[in-house]
Amino acid sequence: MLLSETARREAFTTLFSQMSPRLYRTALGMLGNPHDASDALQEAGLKAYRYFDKLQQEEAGPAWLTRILINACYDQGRRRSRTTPIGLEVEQEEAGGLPAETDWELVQALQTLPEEQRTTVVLRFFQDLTVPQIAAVMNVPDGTVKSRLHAALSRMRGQLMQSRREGVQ
Amino acid sequence: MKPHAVGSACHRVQMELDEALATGTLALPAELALHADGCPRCGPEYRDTEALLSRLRGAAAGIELGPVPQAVDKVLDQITREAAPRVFSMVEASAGSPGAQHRQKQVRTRWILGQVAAVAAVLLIAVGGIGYAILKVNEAVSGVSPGDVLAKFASPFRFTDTAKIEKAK
Repeated sequence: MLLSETARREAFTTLFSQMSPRLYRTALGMLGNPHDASDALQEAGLKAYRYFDKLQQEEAGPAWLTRILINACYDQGRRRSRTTPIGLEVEQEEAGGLPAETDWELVQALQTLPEEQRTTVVLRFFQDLTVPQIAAVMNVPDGTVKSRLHAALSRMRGQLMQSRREGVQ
Repeated sequence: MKPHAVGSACHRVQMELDEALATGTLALPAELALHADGCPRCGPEYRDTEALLSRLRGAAAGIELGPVPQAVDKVLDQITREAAPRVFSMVEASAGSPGAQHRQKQVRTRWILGQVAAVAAVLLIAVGGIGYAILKVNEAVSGVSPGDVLAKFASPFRFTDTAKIEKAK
């Protein structure tokens, strides 16, 4: 899009502000803790603004921004994995810090999934995208999205069943 | 456990559950839901799948968005700061400040001189080459070497000519 500096900034601000809650949810699902999710959201925002001129169609903005966020989450995950094994550091928030409503058990179960499966589940449920929309964001065929979703949800179902059984015993 | 007989209600429930895991949406027809509710074979799997999908949908809604405004503000502050020097340099160039004009003039002069030098070099090489070719053709036709031809052309300008020296004496 060829825009003046001010128009460019305004267009980006509108898109980013509208998308930010969905993007943050996605980042939290992907990374498992609010601090990393917030960092990934900021990183994605700055990167998106830098390349905002490359966005051809305004309608493609949300998918484009989501793709940038996913890459930012992958980068964040890689940086983190150099020091901490992924999936072991989901923050259980203390009272007064972050809310009790967040289903941390589920977020933790997500962190044990392989990166691509986790992304698929997060896009499906945290961004409420359809299978074809996820396929477009991840640049894979619909069938791949379905098989990743099936594998991920089967695994999560197994884990949650097991943890429930352990909780009962 | 024995596999479900093909076409049986349990088999059909299983197929629906597989589809639900692949798409993230469980919509069991009423008669199958009734069967699954009371069936000891497919009932638990049905309930677990339904619970997982419901939890995933609820998890997104339950995520606290507290860190979002701060992250968005940071991004917008940063892009405003990044945009300021760009706008200033654009304004400086368009307003034609003395410094910018002087730099532009220097660049233009250097470019023109470069172009002139390149054209002169090309012409010199071309004239030299063509002249040498003509002399070689002349040598082949008349047997006079290029050196002799040049000497003949240069002789009016040379004071070392013996005839002129004699005449001068």
